[in-house]
Amino acid sequence: MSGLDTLGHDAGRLLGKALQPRLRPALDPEYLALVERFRTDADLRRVTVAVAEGLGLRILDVGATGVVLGCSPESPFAMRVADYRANLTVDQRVASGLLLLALAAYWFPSAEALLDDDEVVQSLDTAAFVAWLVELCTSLAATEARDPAVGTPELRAACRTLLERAETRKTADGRRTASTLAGMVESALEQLEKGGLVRRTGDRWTSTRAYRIQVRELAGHAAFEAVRSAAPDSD
Amino acid sequence: MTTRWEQDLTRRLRTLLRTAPLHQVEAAKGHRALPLADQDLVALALRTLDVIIEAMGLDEGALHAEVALALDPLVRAADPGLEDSAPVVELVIDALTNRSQRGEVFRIPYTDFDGGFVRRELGFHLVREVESEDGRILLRATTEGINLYAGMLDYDVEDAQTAEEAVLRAQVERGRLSQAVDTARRARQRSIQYEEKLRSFLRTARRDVRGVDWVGEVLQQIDAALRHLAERLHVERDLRTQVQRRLDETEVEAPELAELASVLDDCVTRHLRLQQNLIGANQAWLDAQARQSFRPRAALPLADLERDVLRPALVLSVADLDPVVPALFASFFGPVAPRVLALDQLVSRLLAPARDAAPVDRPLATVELEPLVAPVRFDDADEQQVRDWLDAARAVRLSTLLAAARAEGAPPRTERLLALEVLRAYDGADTDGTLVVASDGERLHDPRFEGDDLWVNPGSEGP
Repeated sequence: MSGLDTLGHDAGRLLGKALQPRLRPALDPEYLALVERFRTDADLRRVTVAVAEGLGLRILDVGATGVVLGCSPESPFAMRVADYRANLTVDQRVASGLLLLALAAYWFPSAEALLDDDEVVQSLDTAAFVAWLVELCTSLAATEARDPAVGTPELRAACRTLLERAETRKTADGRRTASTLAGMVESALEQLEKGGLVRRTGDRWTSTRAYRIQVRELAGHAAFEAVRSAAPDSD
Repeated sequence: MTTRWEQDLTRRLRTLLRTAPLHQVEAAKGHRALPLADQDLVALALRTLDVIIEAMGLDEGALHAEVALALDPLVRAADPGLEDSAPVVELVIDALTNRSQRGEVFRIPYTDFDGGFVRRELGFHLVREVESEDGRILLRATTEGINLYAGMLDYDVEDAQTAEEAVLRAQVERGRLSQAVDTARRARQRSIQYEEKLRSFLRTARRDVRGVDWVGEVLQQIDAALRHLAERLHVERDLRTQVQRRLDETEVEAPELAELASVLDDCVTRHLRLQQNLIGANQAWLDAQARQSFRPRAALPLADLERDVLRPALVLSVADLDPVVPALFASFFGPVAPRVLALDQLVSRLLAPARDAAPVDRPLATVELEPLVAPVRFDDADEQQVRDWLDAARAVRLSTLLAAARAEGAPPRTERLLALEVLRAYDGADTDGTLVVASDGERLHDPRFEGDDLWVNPGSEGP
């Protein structure tokens, strides 16, 4: 059964490479060979997809820039809120999740934008992004009926939570504190950068091909479903 | 007979409108915080397109840094007092990529008289940022962007290319070489343009395999393109042979001929590469089909993230949203390989002696260094001159020697060497005794040197 062993081994190697998102086939001959085989060898493809599925992973794309993996919330590879930042309050947790959604919506506002060529990337500077988000939240908060003074903080609209963090408090050494909107955006982008999904270019951030694929093939749908299921009348 | 002025007008109008983004940024420059009064942003934008298109000839596109390098002298020439040209350069790039609208298509409204009076919208990109396979972020001009720069807004690129080469051939045959070089450069621009046109066509075709009539439409287009390319290659090789023949025969016109040869070589290489891509296009399409078949894309159409997802989410309550945050984290961050605790390593690490504090990780300022060369204080001519003076010295005072040297017009450097040689002989430590120098306590009166006015004698004689 050496054929099966080899297939399993190679599938493992390929997924191992894929889990190091900043690795590039162009710079790693073994990775390049595996990517090539994945595209031509139906058996390897089947085994790799199956193993990935078992790990709660989804192969979203296999191309010249490598493998793009998506993952389900149940996967052992999923980013957990507690791993992202310890001891977040409910407010901070929700704000962090919303920022991820807002970043994707800023870069790809429409389905049409999302369907653009994989290689087309977008850039962003934090200040412009925060200004855009604050404007959006302000307009939504103005039309929102619930009285912010009534009820517990958890019952307020999420846009108000974001607005509360909008002012740029600075620490003594001039850095943004982690609890302001700008600071939270920076930490989200830094984490995305670790996953090879965005890149820092000078004082801007640029989305990558992998990010577009991640959002288009998985996260966009997941977010749509999540928000729909969160709406109170859906239960 | 019906005049078709309506169609013509609409076509020309759409052509004209593609320059609108450039005029808009120029018109709005007064509202920016940057000192832009002296900058011609339209010219800078065109130069940017030029740099990008040129880079697309050699590479997949231009780096921001390449554009900055090319624009810097222009920006500074317009405003010599400017400290940093980078903000102006970025502004121009932003204008071309439509970054204020988050990189979306430029949407320019216009009136279409063809078929009544209809308000329409023209959508196009000029420059896009792309990620290359090796992970660099590059700027690429779109077909519209290249058209805008090439000033060839109203023609088919295939026709223009054919015409350009006919002109080129005539110029080479008549020996009008400097014009031929210009024409060849334009022909190369057409090649880049044609390449971009085909590339975007193939990309669109591949993106959604189900939405394209591959056999009926795409394969036919590819066939036509291959025929066009075969013609181009034939003509270009023919021209290249002519140029080579002239190059072998003549010496006088050589620089222009050499340039012509290199531009033609470039065109041939580009067309060969394009031909290969086209021949492989069918296989690439089959691969794309295979790839998209394993993609687990959900059957439902994509949502508009801003309108359908973000806005509804922002008005939900914090308590409602909290349960779905883990799903957002998992899907947007992608997988993260968890670190597994290796017990054996943990134990040995914990038992290991404390290491020195890690060195401070601080970015080093890049300093431009020049190779260190010991400065030459006295050259051989100085040494020879001084030796000559001292050889001729017979019981003279240092002041006399210095005055004589000055009278001869010797440079201060030689004077200084003279004084130093005399001092060295006075010290006596490492001289070979050819010179005897003594002091009688007399002060030296000299504008440049201070000390005793020494007596200088050849070694064999006393003072």
